[in-house]
Amino acid sequence: MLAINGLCKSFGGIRAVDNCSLEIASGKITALIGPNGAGKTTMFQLIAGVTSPDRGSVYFDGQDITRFPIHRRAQLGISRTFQLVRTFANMTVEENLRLAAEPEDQHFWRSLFVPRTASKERLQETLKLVGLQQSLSYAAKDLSYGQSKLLSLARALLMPHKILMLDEPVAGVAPTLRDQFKKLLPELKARGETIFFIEHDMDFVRAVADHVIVMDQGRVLTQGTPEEVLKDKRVLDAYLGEQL
Amino acid sequence: MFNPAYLMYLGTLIALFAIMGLSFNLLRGFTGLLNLGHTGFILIGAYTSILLQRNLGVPLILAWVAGAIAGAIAGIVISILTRRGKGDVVVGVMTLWFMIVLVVIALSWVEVTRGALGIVGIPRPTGFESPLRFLTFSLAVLAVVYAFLHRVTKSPFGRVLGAVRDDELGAQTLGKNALKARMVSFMIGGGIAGLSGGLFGMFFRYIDPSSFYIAQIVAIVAIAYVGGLASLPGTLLGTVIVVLAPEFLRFLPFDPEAVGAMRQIVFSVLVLAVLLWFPKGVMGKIES
Amino acid sequence: MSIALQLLINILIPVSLFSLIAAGFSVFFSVSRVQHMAIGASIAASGYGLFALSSRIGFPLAFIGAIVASIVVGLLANALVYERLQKRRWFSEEVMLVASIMILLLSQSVFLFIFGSQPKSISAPEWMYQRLEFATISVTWGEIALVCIAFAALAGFALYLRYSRLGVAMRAVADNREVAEVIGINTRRMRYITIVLVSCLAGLAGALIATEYNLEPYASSLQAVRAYGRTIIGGIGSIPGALLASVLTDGAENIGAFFVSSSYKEIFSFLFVFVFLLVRPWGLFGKKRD
Repeated sequence: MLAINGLCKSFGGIRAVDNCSLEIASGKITALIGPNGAGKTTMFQLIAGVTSPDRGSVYFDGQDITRFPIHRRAQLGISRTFQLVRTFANMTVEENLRLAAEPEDQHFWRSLFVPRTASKERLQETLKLVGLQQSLSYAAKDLSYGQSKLLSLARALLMPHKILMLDEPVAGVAPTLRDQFKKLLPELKARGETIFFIEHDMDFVRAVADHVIVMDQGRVLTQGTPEEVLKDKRVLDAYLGEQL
Repeated sequence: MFNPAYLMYLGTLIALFAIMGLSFNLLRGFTGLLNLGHTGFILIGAYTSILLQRNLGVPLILAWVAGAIAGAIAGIVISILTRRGKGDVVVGVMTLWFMIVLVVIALSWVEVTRGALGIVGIPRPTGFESPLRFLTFSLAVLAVVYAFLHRVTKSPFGRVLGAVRDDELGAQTLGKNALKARMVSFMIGGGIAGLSGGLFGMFFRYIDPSSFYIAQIVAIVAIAYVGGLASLPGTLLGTVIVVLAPEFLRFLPFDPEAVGAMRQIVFSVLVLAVLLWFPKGVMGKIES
Repeated sequence: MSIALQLLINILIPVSLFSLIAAGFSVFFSVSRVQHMAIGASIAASGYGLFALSSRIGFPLAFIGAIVASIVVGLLANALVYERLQKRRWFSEEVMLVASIMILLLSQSVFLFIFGSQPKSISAPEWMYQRLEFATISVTWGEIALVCIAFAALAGFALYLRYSRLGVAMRAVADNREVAEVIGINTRRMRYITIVLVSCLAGLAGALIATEYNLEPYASSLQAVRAYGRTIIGGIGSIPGALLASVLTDGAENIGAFFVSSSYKEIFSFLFVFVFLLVRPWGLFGKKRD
C-alpha cells in the first residue's frame, strides 16, 4: 500500500533519513521503532507531506505522491496523528469530529445550503469505539491529555482513509488508557484498517504489532516480527542498554 | 447635542464601520489572517466605484458592485502573495505595506484619482439621498452583510476557516486545502470591504487617499479586538463603542486637528488594553 | 558618469540611515521574537526631541537628549508592554506585532497632538551646510558627517555583536532561546539590553534623519514598515543582511525614481520584499527554518 524508495532528508548537516526504502503492507499493523534521533518522526513527516525529501520517492496505492501537498495526501487516504496532540482548541468535540468526517465542507457554496452530512450517531459511535466519554458539546480545550489523544484518534478514524499513521499513540499516557489502546488497535485491524505507528513502548509494540521496522541513524536497520527484531543483537546495540 | 441630524450621522457611521469591522473580523477572527491593509480593499472599492461612474458612465449600483468585485479580486491577489505568511506573521505587515502602496498610488496617479485633492460630489442612490433614507439604506446593507456572514461562519465551510485559524497543519492533515480556504476568506472579506468603500464615498460625498490610511485601520482593528474576535455580534458592539467613545471628545475644548489625534490615541490605547488585559474583548469567542 | 556618481552619493545617505534602523529591528527581532514596529516611535521621539531641545540647549546637547528620548521610548515599550505580554497565556508573535503597531500609532498621535501636523525643520550648526564640490559632485559637510557617523555606528554594532561577551550572549539567545536559558543566560535581561542598544541606534538615525530631512508626523510608520521589509530581505538577525538589503532597496528606489516619477518609489521596495517573501523568505543571510 505504501512504498518508500531511497528517501533522503538532511537538516543542516544531519542526515535524518538516509536512503531508506520500505514497504507497508495493507491490513496489517506495522510498528516503526528506533532510538531517539533515528529519523522516525522525519519519516512520518515525509510520508504525510509536512517536509519534502531531498531525494527519493513515496508511493501510495501505486501513485507517486512525493510532490503532493499535505491536504492532497490526506484526501488520498493518509490519516495521521501527531506526537504532540493537536486538536482544534477553540471548538467543541463535535466540531472537531465533523471537520474530519465531512470532507465536502471545503466546498463553499454547497456548504452554505447543505446541512451537516455526518449523522450524530456515527460521531458518537466513534467516540465510543475509542473510549472517549465526553459529550459532543464538550469544549476541546478542556480535555485532558489522554482525552485529547483519544479525540485525535477519533478524528483520524472518521476521516475517510486507507491508512492510519499514529505517531507515538501511547506516549505519556496513563496505563489504563494504554491497555485500552492495546485492545483497540487489533480491533481496528479486524475491521480492515492498515495501521502504521511509531512507538518507544516495546511492551506495547510486542503486544500489538504484526511487523516491526527498526531505524537507526536515518537508516532501516532491520525488520521482521516483534520476536525476531527484539532479539536481534544489532537492535539491542542501537538502543545501547535501553530497557527493552 | 442630541439633534436628529447628528444622531443620524452617528447611526450611518456606525453602520458603515460595522460593515468594515465585520469583513475584517471574518479575516482575523474567523480565519486568523491579520489583514492590516484592510483599508486598502476599502480604498479600491471606493475609487473603482466612483471612477467607473465618473469616467465610464456606469450606473451607480453597478459601479458600486464593481467596486466590491474589485475588492474581492484584490483579496485573491493578496492571499496568493501572502501564502507563506501566518507562521511568521508576515500577513500583517505585508498587507499594511500593500495599503501604504495603494495610498501612495492614489496620491500620485493624479490624472485618474486627483491625488490629494480627492473626488467630490459623490452621488447617493436615487431615492436615498436624505440622511434618513441613506441611514436606512446603510442599515439594510449592514443587515444583508451580517446575515450572509452569519451563514458563512456557521456553515461547515466556516468551520474549515476556524480550523485553518487554530491549527493550519492540523487542518491540512484532515484534508483541508488551507490555501484555498484563505483565498476564499480574503475574497469575501475583500469584496465586502470593497462594498463598504463605495458606501463610504456615498456617505461622505467625498473621498481622498488619507481617508483610507492608518487612522482608519486602527479604528477597524480596535472595533474587532474590543468587540471580540470571531464574534459577529461582538463586532457590532465594538463598532458602537469605538465610534461613540471619541465623540465625547468633541465636547472638550480641543481644536479640531487635535481631536483627530486624540481619537487615534483612544483607539490605540483601547487595543493595547485588550491585548494586555482583555484578550476576548467584550464578546469574543477566541483570545487575541 | 557624474550623474552616476552623484546618484551613488545620494544613495549612501538613506542607505546608511535605514540600514541602521533595519539592523536594530532585525537584531531585536532575533533576540526577542518581537517585531518592534514601535522602533518608529523611538525614531520619532528622537526627531521631535531634537526639535524641541535644540532651540533651548543647543544642537550637540540636544542631539544627545534626542538619543536618550529614543532609549526611554524603547525601554517603556519593552517594560510596559512586551515583557508583560510575554507572560500572558495568549501570547503569540501576532499579538506582539499588533501591540507594537499600537504603540507606534499611539506615539504618532501623541506627537501629532503636541506638535501639530506641519512638517518641522531643524537648524543644524552652520558648518554642516557648507557645500563641498569636487569632481562634479556636490555634497555638504553635514551629509558627509551623517554618513560617517551612521556607518561607524553600524560597524560598531556589528563588531560588538560579534566579539563582545554580551554580543555573543545576544546571538546565543537569538539562535536558541531555550538552550541559552539552560546555560545560564538571563534572556529577560538580554532583551532589555538589546532594546537599549537598538533604541540607541534608532535614536541616532532619527536625529540624523530629522536634521537631514524634515520632520514629518506620519513618517514613523513608513520607516518602521521599511525596516521590517529590509529585515525580511536581509535575514533576521543579520546586520550585513540589513546593510545589503538597504543597498538593494534604496538603490532600486532611487534608480527607479530616476526613470519613473519619484512618488512611485515605495512600490519598488514593496515589490522587492514581496518577491523575496515568495522566493526566499529567510532572506539573504537568514537561517532556513523548516
